[in-house]
Amino acid sequence: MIPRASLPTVGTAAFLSEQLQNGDLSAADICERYLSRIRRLDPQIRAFVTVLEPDARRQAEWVDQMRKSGKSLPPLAGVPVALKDNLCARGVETTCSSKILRQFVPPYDATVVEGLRGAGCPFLGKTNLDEFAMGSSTENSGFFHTRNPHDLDRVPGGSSGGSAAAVAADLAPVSLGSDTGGSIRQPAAFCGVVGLKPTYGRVSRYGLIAFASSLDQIGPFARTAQDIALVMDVIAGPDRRDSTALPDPAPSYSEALNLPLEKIRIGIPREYFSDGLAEPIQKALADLQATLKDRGCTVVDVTLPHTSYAIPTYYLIAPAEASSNLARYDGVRYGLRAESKDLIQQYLKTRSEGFGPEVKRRIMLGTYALSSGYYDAYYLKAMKVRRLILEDFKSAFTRADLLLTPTTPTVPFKFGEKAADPLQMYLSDIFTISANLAGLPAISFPCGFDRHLPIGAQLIGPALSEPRILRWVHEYQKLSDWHLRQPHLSAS
Amino acid sequence: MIIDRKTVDHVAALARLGLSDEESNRLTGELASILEHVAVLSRLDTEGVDPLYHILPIENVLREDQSVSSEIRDDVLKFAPKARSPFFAVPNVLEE
Repeated sequence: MIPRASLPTVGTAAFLSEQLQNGDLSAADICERYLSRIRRLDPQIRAFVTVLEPDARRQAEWVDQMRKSGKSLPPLAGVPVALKDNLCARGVETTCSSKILRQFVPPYDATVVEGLRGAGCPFLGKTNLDEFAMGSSTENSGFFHTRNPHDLDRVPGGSSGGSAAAVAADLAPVSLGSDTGGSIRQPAAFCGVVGLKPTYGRVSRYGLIAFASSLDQIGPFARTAQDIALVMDVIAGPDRRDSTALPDPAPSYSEALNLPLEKIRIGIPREYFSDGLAEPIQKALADLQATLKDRGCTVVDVTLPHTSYAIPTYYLIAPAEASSNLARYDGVRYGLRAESKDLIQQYLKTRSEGFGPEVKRRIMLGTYALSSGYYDAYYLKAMKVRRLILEDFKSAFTRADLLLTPTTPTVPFKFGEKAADPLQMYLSDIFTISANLAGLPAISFPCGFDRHLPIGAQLIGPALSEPRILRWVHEYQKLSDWHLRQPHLSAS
Repeated sequence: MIIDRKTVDHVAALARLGLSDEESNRLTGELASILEHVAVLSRLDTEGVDPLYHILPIENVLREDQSVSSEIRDDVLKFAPKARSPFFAVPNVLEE
């Protein structure tokens, strides 16, 4: 049995929130601690595209003043956060790690950013990503690579690699990412932190720079399920500015953690445990299963027969939607403009200079899949298979309450290992993509290590089952300490 | 199913991407291999399956049109690559 976790001294939002409310720590102290860690450690990790040093300090001081004046403040007031750089923040450069958006300064906040600002969270900075969130290693960033804090020669995963690495290296207690095919869960697994992709529509996408609109969803990174719940309490809920945001109010996720433990059935989809799965990952998942059984779960075998079709389906739908969403980068209204005397030439030049290779590849693939004569064979076909994938899950959820899988087929890979072959990179999302196609909530959380490299487990639930998912990860984290293991970092 | 250089050039023109010769050649190979991978879908029987355009059972949201001032016009124009307030400026598109 794993030793019982000891309380972390610093680094979780829940702990910081308690200290702030007791008056043991000021928001300014906390903010300074993270800013100084960023100054010291980020030159080697490179999680941040932009550090908002004066802004963060100002926000923290404002929170301290409010508290001094006797105002009752929300739980996260004074807890700093990092934002993936595809989330618009008013007056702050928002680049999507793309040359085409360099120097783009949005005049408004994304709904989630507005929510966190209102809750009193100082923004430490904007984090690196694969350009326009297209990738699984953050190697596709138009600016620089982010390194995995657990092994600087390896990728942090992607596309939210910066947000995951920031939490893993304790450069931020919590951060936000976005997940279109695994872009929160895969880097969470690679960096040894928790990452939640909520049910499609549970969190407003207003102000998230669109990649594939029917799949994109914003979600948090943190060290614990408890912290994920605290952030979800702020960002989940209806929004009149996003017509795909669910109209009913969100429950309290923090309260859900204190509910009595339900006896649930955990489904093990056999397609996710093939021979190709690395041995240490198999072993970690088996240990996790045993722990859940000890706590009263029933484990049942289930099948998701269309699993092998998920990647082909995704790589038609996501590029098709992307090719349409990225048509707006034309050099007219914002971002890069490559001047030309002729408007069409200006479009061609701007887009050619501004987009990197992976973005061009996906725009080409998507434009092709939607083009006249190919629409039925590719896009329409993929939309039909998408329904079959959803039906697989519906039928599995008649036998199981949650599904347990590995998050990734391997531990973090080395820089350059998959970069040369786009298809190999696509296959690293094999376990995460289906939840996006079916719109389901799914979480990745640390469940072991292969030497010094983290291993992530994934729980997938029916739509809106986030409270149950978080309740169980919270329970597991009371019995394990994988999530508290810190990478060994020293200033370079 | 065959994707050749001519198709790549056509699609690039549709997508308004100015690709170099080298990029177009590389993409011809890469797209062919990706399309080969997704071809597995064509062998799956989807007779009678409705396409799933949207995973939520929510309905369209209607409201009265209302004019409100966003008050961000100047900020938007300030960061435009080229503007002549209150317009974005582009190269001439009409014949002289």
